[in-house]
Amino acid sequence: MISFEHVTKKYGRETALNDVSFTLEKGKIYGFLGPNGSGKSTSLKMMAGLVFPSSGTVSVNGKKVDRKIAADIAYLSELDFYYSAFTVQDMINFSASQVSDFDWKKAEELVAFMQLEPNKKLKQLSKGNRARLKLVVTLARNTPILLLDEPFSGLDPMVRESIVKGLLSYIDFANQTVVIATHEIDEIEMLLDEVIAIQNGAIRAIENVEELRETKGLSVIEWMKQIF
Amino acid sequence: MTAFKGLYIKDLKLSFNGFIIGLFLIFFAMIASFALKEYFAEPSIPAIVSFIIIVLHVFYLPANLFTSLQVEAQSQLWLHNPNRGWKLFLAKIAAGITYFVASLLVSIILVKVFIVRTEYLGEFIGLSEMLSDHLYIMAGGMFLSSIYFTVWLLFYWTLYHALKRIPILNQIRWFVLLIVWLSVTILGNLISKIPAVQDFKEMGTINFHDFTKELGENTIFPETAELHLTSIIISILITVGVFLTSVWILERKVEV
Repeated sequence: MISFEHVTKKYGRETALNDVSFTLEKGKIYGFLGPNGSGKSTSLKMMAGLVFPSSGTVSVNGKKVDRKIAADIAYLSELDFYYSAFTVQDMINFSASQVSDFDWKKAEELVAFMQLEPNKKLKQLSKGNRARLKLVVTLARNTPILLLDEPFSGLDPMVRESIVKGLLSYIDFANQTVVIATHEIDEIEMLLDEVIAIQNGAIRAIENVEELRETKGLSVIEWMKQIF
Repeated sequence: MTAFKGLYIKDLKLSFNGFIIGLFLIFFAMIASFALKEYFAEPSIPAIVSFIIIVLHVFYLPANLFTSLQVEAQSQLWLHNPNRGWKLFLAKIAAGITYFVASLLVSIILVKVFIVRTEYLGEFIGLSEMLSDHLYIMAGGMFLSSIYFTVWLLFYWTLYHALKRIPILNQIRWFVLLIVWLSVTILGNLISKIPAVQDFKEMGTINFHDFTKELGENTIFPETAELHLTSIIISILITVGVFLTSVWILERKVEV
């Protein structure tokens, strides 16, 4: 369970998050939806212990979040950052060495599934293949929480499709809590259990996707158009 | 593979290009020194260049570490790691030491092969003798000094990146570092002038009479003839303290 209690994050005069409170339950897939600069990435980084709140508390399973939370959380960054000296295999070996929950079998399956060449240097990969690799090392971990920050940003439809297929095939729907921050929801609408609309650092609404469809007759996109 | 080994291999890979460039520069400097010796008909030039190459190694480890840290600073995503900050830093230092030792060994071999055991011993006898007889003491001293500078570099690097989260200081981070450096230096000087501290530092002094005698008039580092054990212990304590402070800042204050 991930909990935000009156969390505010300020960068000088800029407020990234303003007195935000919510709880994310185990075994659900959440969509953090909102325009650029709404506070989605900051929220995910706080869950991952990479950014600290100016006030309020972020906790995971009752424990206040710090850097060590990386043992329980697999985080996929929005950044296209990579070690240029690494090959695909180097990246997998390195990721596996840092955590105790790395599933080698899953990683090998994912590499084959994403059609990545193990001996290829990362600097020689296309942006799309680097995004696939990021997903491989993230999904290969058996963590209770999975955070995906803009997994589709700047990627072509083919790559997006392979990422969604990867998510569908390799997420443990019963045990993993998944948070996907994005403003592009076409691809992931079918995956989501709950959606959280965030704008200007404040939560605008939280809805169950199934209820949204059944009671209000709205798709997530239609709901977003009403909210923003 | 253990977490530390994984980090160490990663850091070796990050610094490999820098290592190769460093070796190339050493070879280039040596070849250039022989060319200059011929051109100016000055046999001592290779010995002087060799000496400079070895002395410059005191900056090797800090420079290596800085380039490696700057790669991480592009995203700071290396902090998404369940392993503690000291492990992340120590792996970088270990990788840097590996290249430092390799580069220093290459330099020493070149000095031994090209300078000391050839006809180019030259007329700069003091320097040649020093290179010949005290090379390993020099190398050891530089290694320890290098570690000391490296840890201070870690401290200033983490402080610089921690200040990023304070917008009012973000634009003047270099100035803040300068203020901190000046404050630390002034404070250190003031403390070292306290008579009790001076007396303490004088304790456990070891004299190397033979060393000064051998160098004769061409003594270059006469002060290294005395070794203050208490000063070394203080330096070790400072190094450990600064390292732990850097780790604390990295874990608590540096954001992604």
